[in-house]
Amino acid sequence: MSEILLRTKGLTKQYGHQKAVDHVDVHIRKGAIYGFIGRNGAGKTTFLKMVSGLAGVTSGEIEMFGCKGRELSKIRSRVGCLIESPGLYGNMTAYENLKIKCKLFGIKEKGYIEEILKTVRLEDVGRKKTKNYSLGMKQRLGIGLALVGEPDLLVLDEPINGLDPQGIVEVRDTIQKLRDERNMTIIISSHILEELSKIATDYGIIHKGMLMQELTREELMNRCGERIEVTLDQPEQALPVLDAMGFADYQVTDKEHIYIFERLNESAQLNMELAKAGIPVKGISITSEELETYFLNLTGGAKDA
Amino acid sequence: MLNIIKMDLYRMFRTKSLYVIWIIAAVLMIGTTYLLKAENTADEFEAASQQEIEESYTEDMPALGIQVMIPAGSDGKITVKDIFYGNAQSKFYALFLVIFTVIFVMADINSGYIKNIGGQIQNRGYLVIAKAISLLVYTVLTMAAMVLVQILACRLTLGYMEFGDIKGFLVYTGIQILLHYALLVICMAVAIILKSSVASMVIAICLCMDMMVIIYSAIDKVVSRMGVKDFHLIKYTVTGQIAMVSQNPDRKECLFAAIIAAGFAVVCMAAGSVVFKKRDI
Repeated sequence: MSEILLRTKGLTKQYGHQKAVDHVDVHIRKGAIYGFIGRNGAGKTTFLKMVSGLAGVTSGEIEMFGCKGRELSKIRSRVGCLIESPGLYGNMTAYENLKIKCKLFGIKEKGYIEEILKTVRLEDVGRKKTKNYSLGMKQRLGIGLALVGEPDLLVLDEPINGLDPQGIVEVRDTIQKLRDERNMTIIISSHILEELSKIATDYGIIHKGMLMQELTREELMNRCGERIEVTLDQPEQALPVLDAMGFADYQVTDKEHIYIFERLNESAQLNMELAKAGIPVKGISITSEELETYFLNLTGGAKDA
Repeated sequence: MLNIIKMDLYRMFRTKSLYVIWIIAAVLMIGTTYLLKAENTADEFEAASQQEIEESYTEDMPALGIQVMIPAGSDGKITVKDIFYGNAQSKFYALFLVIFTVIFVMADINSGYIKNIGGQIQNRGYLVIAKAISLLVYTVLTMAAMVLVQILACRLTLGYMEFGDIKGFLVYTGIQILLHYALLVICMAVAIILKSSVASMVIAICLCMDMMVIIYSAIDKVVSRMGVKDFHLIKYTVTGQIAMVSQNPDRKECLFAAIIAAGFAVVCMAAGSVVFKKRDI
């Protein structure tokens, strides 16, 4: 397994009595594109703000680049972020917006800003004020601003939100280019799962402030692939049977279903063992599903959406 | 820290409103100087005495709003120093300074640009201190520009340029720069704490219009009932000092004004810095 660049332990953010992020433990590998999946209000932005140093932590711990606690302030400059909408001075050009951040980092290198503009494909915008940019251009400039200072970790919150298909492709290509050319670790949150699945190497699924699951692309594809789906009245009664048969990779998804992601050819034997244990099985089948359906099932189904 | 200051200064000089406000202030100064000439020519101009100006601020309830009173020159001629004094004590300069301050301080918060930089700084409180230092540069530059415009306005409209007592002018200007700067730091802290451009702007303008005297008078009355006689809270405020510092302040007066200015500036800078550091962006 690659080196862990970012690890959180019991990370919690509370506003009044409301826990926006509730004991979240994530593990992000160096060089990964970590897709942070969750519905609106799931706690994605709050989590990313804490990681980026924009919001304080109520409890728990963040460990980045081997630093934690007070030491984190020393490595904050290694985290570039684009949180929510891009923050730009509308009456200034892209160059001037970037120049302001370069001043902060003390960057005087000739051609540095032009290089960033080229990376985010805004090299031809000239003296156009950013208030006249399309949303896609603004998002790309937002990414450009996050790149100033050569961060090792890039945090992008919903960078494709509200973009047209062309804009989505442009942002996606930019992110992929950054990972390939600069070996950056990127956290990208979105609720557009199909888009995320095209670039992410790892996933964290957050729901109501809690991290439901953390898995690699391969694991996710396996889970979205074929599985044994058992339908029964009281799934918890079947768990001892599954354990006795040596099933380890299974999940009770709701009050009627258990998904088993391994030994798919043993469904008939499983049916027999459940019957022997006196557990009535309503149905047992081998199925597969879309990433979106998997996510909906994991977070309580479409009824909560 | 130096980089943050450089960043803020770069941003300040790229802000269009800085130049718009300077131009409006300059045009108004030339206009008011021209009016002075017109009144003088018509024998209607009666310069206020120093005592008159001071008395208007020690009454229980000074007049609200901006009222420019030009003190009488020794030889009947209006000097640059006289007009600068009139404009400074009436908070004519302060009004323009505070408007830009609120715009400048709130620009990165309103635009969301703060999200690009807020997380990458070791101590977010430095952002507020850097803003305060940039505002000092702005105060000095604006005051210098106002003096230059006033010289020009005198030449253009009055036909002569009498500077007045230069040493006294420098002392008075120095004290006013300090007091005006303290006022800007107060407005900066208010803007940061309230996180609202509109509310901050209203408070800043009210401070310049002496609207706070209503509150000061109420406090004075309460203090008076407690047995403390002849207490005027306005004397211990920055806006009060801006209005009350005499045209030729003595050492004691200068020291008192400097202590008030420094006290408010330090407290407000610290408050803004702590609030901004603790608060989520």
